Amino acid sequence: MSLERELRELGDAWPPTPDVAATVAGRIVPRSPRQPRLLGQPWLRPALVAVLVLLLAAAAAVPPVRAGIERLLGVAGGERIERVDRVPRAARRLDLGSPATLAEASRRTDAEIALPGRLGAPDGVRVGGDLGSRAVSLLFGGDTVLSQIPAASTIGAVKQIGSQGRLRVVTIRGRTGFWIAPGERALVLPGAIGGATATTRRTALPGASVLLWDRGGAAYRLETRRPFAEAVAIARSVPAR
Amino acid sequence: MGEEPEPEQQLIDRARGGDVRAYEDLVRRHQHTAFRTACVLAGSAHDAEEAVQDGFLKAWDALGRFRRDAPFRPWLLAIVANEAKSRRRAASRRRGWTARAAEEVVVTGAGTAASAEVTVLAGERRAQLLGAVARLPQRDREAIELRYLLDLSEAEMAAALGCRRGTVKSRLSRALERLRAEIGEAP
Repeated sequence: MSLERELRELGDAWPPTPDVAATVAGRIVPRSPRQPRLLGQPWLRPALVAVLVLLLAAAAAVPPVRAGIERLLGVAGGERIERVDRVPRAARRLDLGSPATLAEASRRTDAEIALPGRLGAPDGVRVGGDLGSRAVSLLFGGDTVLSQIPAASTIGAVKQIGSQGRLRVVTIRGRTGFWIAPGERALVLPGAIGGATATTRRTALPGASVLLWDRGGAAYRLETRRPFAEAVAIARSVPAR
Repeated sequence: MGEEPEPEQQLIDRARGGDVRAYEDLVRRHQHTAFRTACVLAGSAHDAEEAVQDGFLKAWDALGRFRRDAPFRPWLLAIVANEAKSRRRAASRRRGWTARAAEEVVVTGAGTAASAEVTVLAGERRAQLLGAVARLPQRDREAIELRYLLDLSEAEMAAALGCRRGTVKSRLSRALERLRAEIGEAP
């Protein structure tokens, strides 16, 4: 057999191709289609303006039906991640719950706490708060928070990302994770979808990126001001619970 | 009978007009080749995945500048390849995915039953070839992987490597020569 042919037959050694189409489509900032020539006709413009005014008046006369157009990007870390054209305003920061020791947190949530190998022991521990009664959040050095929730106890929050919000899909120990840059985004807690601002939350740490992933029956949520590569390295250093 | 797939040119025209769904279809058609090209040039599946995502997003932004009569895939691969090359950083990653694939073959081969001798021998040859490709200088390795393992055309290789078709031919011929020397075969 010729060497070239043998090489061609090695082609099945490739790593599996991830399906990125939906994620790419979700990250696209839509642009306006090219203006058709018809709209360039001067006689048409006053008519269009009149129609627009009527439509706006009609829209103002009824309550808004929904906050924006949603597109599902994925589910990870106990949150459903959606691209929306308008992010609801969130005034309050995420409440991470009350202070506890690691042993108390483990007892109160009836779960083992996984410590990220890259960061070691936390500087503080919180239990409960907006992420649910079985959520444990570990605080590291004022710039990083790792929250973990048993998968069965996640509260079904929705992470909404605006059209300009940056998002990356990453692989954390073989599972898909989502990294979301600071900016146009909000966490919508259950019962608030539809536009109420009372139960939307900003990140607990100002200016932090968020990394969401799942592993071994638990949902993980990392907030950090450290760079993207460091966030991924921290996530990958979390052992299974 | 399934529905006929929409012609690529039609999808490109719709995407140029701002249709995200049409672009999603285009991505799905080309993501396989784009990902493997990025694997070769970035050296790891993780970096390749990111390169493909970012590359497709840049291609969306650049669609207005794409010449309608030009072939789409080489144009797209050039953009993804640039993203992948910019991610090739750590020296360990420059070993490339073939080095890891060779190790996996060795492990699999060692555990195979003695009765399947033919399979073992084939596995050894495969590991030998993958190992030899992995030991080649980066430029030679990329040429071999893109041409023979991924089956890109010379035009597509030229786009991905950022060189002329004539250069692709000479790089390939030199790379094959080195590979033969590596596995101890006469040219």
